[in-house]
Amino acid sequence: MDNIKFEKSLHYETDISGITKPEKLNVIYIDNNFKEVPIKDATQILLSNKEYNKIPALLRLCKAYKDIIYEQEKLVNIKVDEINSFKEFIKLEQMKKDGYFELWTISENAYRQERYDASMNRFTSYLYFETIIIVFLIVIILAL
Amino acid sequence: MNTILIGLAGAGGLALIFTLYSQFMNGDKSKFLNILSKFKQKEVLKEIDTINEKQKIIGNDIKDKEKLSKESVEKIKEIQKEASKDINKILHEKNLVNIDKEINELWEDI
Repeated sequence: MDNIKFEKSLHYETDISGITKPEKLNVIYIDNNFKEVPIKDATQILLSNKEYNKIPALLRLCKAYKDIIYEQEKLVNIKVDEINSFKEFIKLEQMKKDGYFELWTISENAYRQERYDASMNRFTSYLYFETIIIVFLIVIILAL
Repeated sequence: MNTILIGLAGAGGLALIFTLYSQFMNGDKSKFLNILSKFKQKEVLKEIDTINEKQKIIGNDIKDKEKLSKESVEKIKEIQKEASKDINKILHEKNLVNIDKEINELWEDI
């Protein structure tokens, strides 16, 4: 099997500095007669067109954050799935390690058995040869 | 004398038969064990091959996920860019009807 290579994952950082942030609302405080009054006496507020624009801009900002949250949720789940896959990969690697160990054990046992059988063969061959020689010698001695 | 010779020859014969038999037995046993170990080896190798295949699939799956996470990070950047563009556009809108429409739409979205 070709070795599977994995790239090192980089840290993820949320950078929201790129999103334009609307400035604070500047409102005009008025009373019921639509006369500009200090904030403590105000019952209503007035917004210029420019200031009113900041409200949908803020809503758009909220929408962006919401979209980012959903995308980050997706990202987290991808990472969770990745971790689970790695766990499975490690489990299989351990199984493979056990398999190779079994293979080594089989080879080692077969080698030892072969060595034992070979030594037994040698021993019986010697026994056979020596028995023949001894019997032959005894027969000759007795015949003489 | 003849009896001794016959006895010795008999003993020699028996020793010969025994040694030949044990040699035959050893060889046979060795052959059998060899076949058995090769069979076991084949089984284990087959198992390892299956594991390798599974690992290959998982490896590709992990690589796909790495790609997906990169895409997701890029998408987040894209969301930020789009939001900035939209906010700048909204801030420069002069038509109050359009602003009101924008508020209603965005209110529904969030």
